[in-house]
Amino acid sequence: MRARRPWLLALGIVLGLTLVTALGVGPRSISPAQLMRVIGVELGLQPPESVSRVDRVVITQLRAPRAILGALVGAVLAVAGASLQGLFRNPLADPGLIGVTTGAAAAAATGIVFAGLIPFGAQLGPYLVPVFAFVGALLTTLTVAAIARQDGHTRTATLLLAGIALAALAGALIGLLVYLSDDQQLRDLQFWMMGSLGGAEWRSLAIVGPILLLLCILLSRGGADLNCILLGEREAQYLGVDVERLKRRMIWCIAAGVGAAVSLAGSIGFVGLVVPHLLRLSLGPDHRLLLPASALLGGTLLLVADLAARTWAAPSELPIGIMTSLVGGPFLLWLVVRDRSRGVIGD
Amino acid sequence: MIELEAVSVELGGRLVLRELSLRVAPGELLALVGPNGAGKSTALAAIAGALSTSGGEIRFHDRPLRAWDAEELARARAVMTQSEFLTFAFLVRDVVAMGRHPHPPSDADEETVDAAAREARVSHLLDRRYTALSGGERQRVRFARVLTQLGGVEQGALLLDEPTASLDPAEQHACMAAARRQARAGRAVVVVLHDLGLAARYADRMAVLDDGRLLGEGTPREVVGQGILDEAFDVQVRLVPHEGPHPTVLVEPRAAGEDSGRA
Repeated sequence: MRARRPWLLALGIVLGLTLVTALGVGPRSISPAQLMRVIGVELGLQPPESVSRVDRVVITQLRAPRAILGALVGAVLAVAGASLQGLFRNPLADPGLIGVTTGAAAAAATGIVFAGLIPFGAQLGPYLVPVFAFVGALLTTLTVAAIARQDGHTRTATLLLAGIALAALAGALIGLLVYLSDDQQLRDLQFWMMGSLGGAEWRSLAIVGPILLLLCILLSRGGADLNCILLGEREAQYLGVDVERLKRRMIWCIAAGVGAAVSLAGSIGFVGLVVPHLLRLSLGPDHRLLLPASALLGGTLLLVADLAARTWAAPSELPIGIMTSLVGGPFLLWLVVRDRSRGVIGD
Repeated sequence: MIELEAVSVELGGRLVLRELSLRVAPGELLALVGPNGAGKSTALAAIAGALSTSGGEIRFHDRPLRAWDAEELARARAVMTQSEFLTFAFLVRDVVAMGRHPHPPSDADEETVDAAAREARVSHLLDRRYTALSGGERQRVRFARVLTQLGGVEQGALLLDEPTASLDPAEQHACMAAARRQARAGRAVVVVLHDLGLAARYADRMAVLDDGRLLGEGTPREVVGQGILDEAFDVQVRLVPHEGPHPTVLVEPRAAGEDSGRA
């Protein structure tokens, strides 16, 4: 009942400002004024000769797709994490936990190492690995969901255990593929396992971007139902929630969202865990606010992480997964230590 | 109106409810009593629509229960269970307000929440964190939540599974008095109870279950007078003669032998 709009508006403004900053900052510094002129040119409000060609290419072909991809991937990962935490009634749940992320990464690794052996591989060209990652995420989810389903009912604890087992299996597969790969493949694998927004370009973004945006919106809207699930599945049923349908819908949205995110940006950890926590500390656990707020803050934080990844060791670039884990790991430890006395996470 | 006709329920290959027939009219408070494992909670869950029956039929407002859509049912009946899952630090006000979930949002929601909180005696807790409450306080908050769910509902059903289990004596009476007021407001109220004294004092009728079967039912005076409780619980239940309008019972062990006192 408390006001949710001001929070979402504020987080939206912060995301917008971060996006603009991400367009301006980099090895070639572009001032806000120049940036506005480039946007003016792109919208046809100003003549093309008013800006430098290089600025224009850097912004429209390099930084804009990268920033948009970063915002969308961060948003999907964070809202997927928040949704899973609600669904499992466990604040430590994460898309990595039900095996989706590792499954997608293992499929991507298979695509990289065996590209030559795969039928139609040549036709798919640069899309081969992303398609593999996406299909890998869905297949993992299908397997986990099938194992957890009994008598028309999805058993949450089994889902979790099956996910952990499959993630371990997928991890072993990745290890094996690393062992089999040559030098070039190893570099590609590394990119995939540590995550990067460096591969962003308009053509793939045009396909995956709308999917990510749609899943973000779908997941963000389930807050009231998730609140009821937190009371217990039967309690939610008594409050009129179709628990089984909600679970299925959410798990598939999460699988598709994480699969799409991993397909373009590799596996990026901790966003789904840290962002909802950070928000719960200040906004409380109401998922009607938590879910959309997670999407907005997740987008913002991944953009900031990417900014750090590409400016810290410029002109070379750190994998963004290293940045998020470098910040996320200690943050989680701090939360755990702090929670021993405060009980915010739960019992 | 709740009607059960020869309802059987099988759980894990075991028949836990055997051909149970019951009727609860609007305005009536029925206490379901019986020893541990008699099938009281199962009966309540079946009435609530959470279990599939292996025989018989349950009707609610003259319609088979399975013909009700989950959300439509949630707008007409509220269920307070014994389970406790909430580990996220919600404000008590938000937990109580979750009772409005099946209803379309309305300007009156806040007033409904406040009224239910007063009735369940948790108004002073509304701005606290649910996770910081005691077991008894949480139970009253859950009671407030189900009252909120029925707020503005004309002839709903209120199903309570041991609502007084972790309450102190004063709160037990307050809770049962509130449940009785719900019945007087036109709702069909079913309460699973272990305390025979509370059941006898507040229920219009008592239904006694044993081993999944209905052993007998009637007004508290009838049930006690016919010795049905004695048979079900293997105890001696007597009415205490007094001036007040409500029956008061005394429960004693069957064998008045070595452990009954120091003499």
